[in-house]
Amino acid sequence: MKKYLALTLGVLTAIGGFVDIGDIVTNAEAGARFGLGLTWVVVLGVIGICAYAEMSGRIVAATGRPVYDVIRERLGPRAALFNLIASFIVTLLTLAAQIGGVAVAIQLASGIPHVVWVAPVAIGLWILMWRVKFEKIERILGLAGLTIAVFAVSIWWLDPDWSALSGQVMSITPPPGEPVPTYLYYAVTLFAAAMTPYEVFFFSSGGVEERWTVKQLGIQRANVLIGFPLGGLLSLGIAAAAAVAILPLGMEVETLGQVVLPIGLAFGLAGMIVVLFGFFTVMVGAAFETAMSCGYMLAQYFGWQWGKRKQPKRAARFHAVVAGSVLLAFLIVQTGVDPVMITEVSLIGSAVALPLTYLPVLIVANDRQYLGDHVNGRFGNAVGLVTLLVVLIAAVAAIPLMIATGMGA
Amino acid sequence: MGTGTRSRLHRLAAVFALALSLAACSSLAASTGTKEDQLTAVTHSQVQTARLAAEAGLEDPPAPAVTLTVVLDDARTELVGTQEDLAKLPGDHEDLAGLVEDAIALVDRTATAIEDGDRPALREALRQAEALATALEDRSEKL
Amino acid sequence: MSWIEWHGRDRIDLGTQMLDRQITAPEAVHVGKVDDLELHFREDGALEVTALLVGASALCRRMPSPARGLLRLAMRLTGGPHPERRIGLAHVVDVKSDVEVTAEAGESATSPTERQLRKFVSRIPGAGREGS
Repeated sequence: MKKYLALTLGVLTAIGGFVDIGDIVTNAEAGARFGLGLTWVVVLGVIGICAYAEMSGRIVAATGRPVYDVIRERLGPRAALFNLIASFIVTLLTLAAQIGGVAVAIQLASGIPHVVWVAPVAIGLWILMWRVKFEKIERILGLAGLTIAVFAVSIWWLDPDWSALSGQVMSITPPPGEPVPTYLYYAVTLFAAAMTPYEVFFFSSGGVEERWTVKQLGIQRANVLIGFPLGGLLSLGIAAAAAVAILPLGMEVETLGQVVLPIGLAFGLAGMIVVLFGFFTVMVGAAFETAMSCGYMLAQYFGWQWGKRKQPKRAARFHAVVAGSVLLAFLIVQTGVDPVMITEVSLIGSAVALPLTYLPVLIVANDRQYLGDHVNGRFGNAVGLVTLLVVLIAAVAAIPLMIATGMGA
Repeated sequence: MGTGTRSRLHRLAAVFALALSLAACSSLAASTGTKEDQLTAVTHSQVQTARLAAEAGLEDPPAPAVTLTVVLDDARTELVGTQEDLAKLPGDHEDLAGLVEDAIALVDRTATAIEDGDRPALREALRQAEALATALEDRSEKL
Repeated sequence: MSWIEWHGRDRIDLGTQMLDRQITAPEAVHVGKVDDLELHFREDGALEVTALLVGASALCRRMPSPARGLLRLAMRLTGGPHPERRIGLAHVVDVKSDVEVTAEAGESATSPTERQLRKFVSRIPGAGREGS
C-alpha cells in the first residue's frame, strides 16, 4: 500500500515537473498553426526527458549526490563554470516567465493588469518556499495541476474532425503552404519546452531532498516512465484543443488569454475557472522548481550547504541565492515585457544550453567509479545518445531559425 | 584530428549553414508576403479572437466576462498597433485601414455586449465578426 | 600517517580524485569544494600535499582570466574577497566520493560570506526551524 502511495505521489511530482508555461505556450501556438502535426516532437522530447531523468535519478540513488554536484568534478572548474553561467541565465529567464505567467493568470481571473500582480506573486512565491515543506509543495501543486487535463477533455465537446486530427498526429512534415523554417522553429521550441534544463537539476536535487536510495530505484523509474509521459499528454491536450478550436479560424495564438478561449467555448464559466486554476498552480509549481534550481546550481558548484532539509539559517547562501533569483526575475517581469515573449526567449536559450545539461549526465551515468553496477545499460545509452544527437541539432539550429523566421512569425 | 580534416569540416559546416539560410530565406519570402499582407493577417487574427470570445460569451453559463474582456483588450491593443503601422506604410491602403477600423469597432461592441450580458448584441457581433473575417480573407490569397 | 597507505589508498590522483571534490564535515555539513591544494617541497625534493584550500580566492588561481575577473567581481559584490581557508591534511578523516574532514576543520573553514549572511538570515522568522 505504502509503495503505491509513493508511486502516486512521485507520478504527481513528475507531471508537475514536466508542464510549465513553456509547454503551455508552445503547444498552444503549435496547435493553432500546425494542429497536432508536431506531435512527434513532443513524443521525442518525452522520451528524451524520461531517459535523462531516469539516469539522474539513478545517479542520485547510487551516490546520494545530485547531478550538478558531479559536473564540476567531471568537467573541471572552467567548463563547469561556463555551464553554470549559461544554465543559470536560462533558468532565471524561465523563472521570470513562470512568474509573469502566474500574474497573467490572475489578470485573466480578475481583470486587473498583470503588472500589478508581479510583486505579490514574487513575495507569495518566496513565502511558499520559505515556509512550506518540499514534499507538500510538490504534491499539492502536482495534484492541482492535473486540472489542465480540461484541455484534453474539451476536445470531445468541441466536436472535432477526428480523421483530420489523427492524420496530423501521423505526419512528420509541414502542412502544405507552411514554410519549413517556421515549422522547424516551432519544433525546436516544443522540444526545448519538453526538455527544459531545470527539470534535470530540480529532479536530481529533489531526489536528494527526498533521500532516495537504491532500494527505491524501481519506484523512481516507474514515476519517471508514468509521470513524464502523462505530462506530455496534458501538453498535447492543449495543442489538440487549439487544433480543434483555433486552427480552422486561421488565427494565431499570442497571449495566454487566447490559449484558454477553447475551454470557454467548450465549458463556459466552469471551464474557465478550472483552466485558470490549473494554469495558476502549474506555473506556481514551475516557479518553485526554477527558483530552487537557481539555488541548487550555484550551491552545488561551490560546495555550499543547500536544500530545504537543512535548517534555513545553516544554508544562508543557498536561501540568499533563491531569494535573489526571485527578486531578479521579478525585476525582469516588472519592466512590463510580455511574459509570452520572455517564455519564447527562455526556450531558445534552453535549446542552446541543452547539450551542456545533458552531456555531463550521460558521462556520469556511465562512470563505474560513481555508480558501480548501476551504470547505464545498452538500451539506456542508445536512447541517451540518440536524444543527445537531437539535442545537439536543436541547439545548433535554434538561433539561426529564430532569426530566419522572426520568432516564428 | 588533423588540421586537414578540421578545415574540411569547417568548410562543410559553412556550406551547410549557407544552404540552410538560403533555403530559409527563399521559402520565407515565398510565404510571408508583403507588409500589407502581414498586417491583414494580424487584423484577421484579432477579428477571429473577438469571434471566439463572442462564442464563449454565448455559452450557458457564459465564460466569465472579466476573462473575455482581458482577451478583447489585448486584441484591441494589437489592432491599434496595426493601425499605426499601416499609417506609416508608404502608399495607399485605405481599403485595409477601413477594415482595421471596423475590427476595432467590432472588438469594442463585443466587449460592451459581454459586459452587459446582452445576448442578442453578442449574436450580432458574432455575425459581423464572421463577415469581417471573410472580407479580410478575400483581400489576401494567403489566408 | 603512513605515506604508503593513506585512507585505504596507496595512491591518489590529485587531479581527478582530489581537486574539485566536495568537502563534507560530520552530519552531512557541506564545507566547500577542494578549490586548490597547498603543496610543499620536502627536503628530499619531493612534493607533498600539506593542506586543502577552500574558497573562491583559491579557485580564482585556477581560472582563465575572463572567468577570474567574473569571480572577483562576484566576490566583491558579496562583501569579499575573503582569503582562502586552509584544512590541514591531518584533519582529513576519509576520502570517498567526497572528502570528509573533522567537525573543527569544517567549522573553521566556513566561508566569511556565509557567516555574515547567517546573521542576516537568522533574523527572518522561521530561519531556525528544523529543515523540511
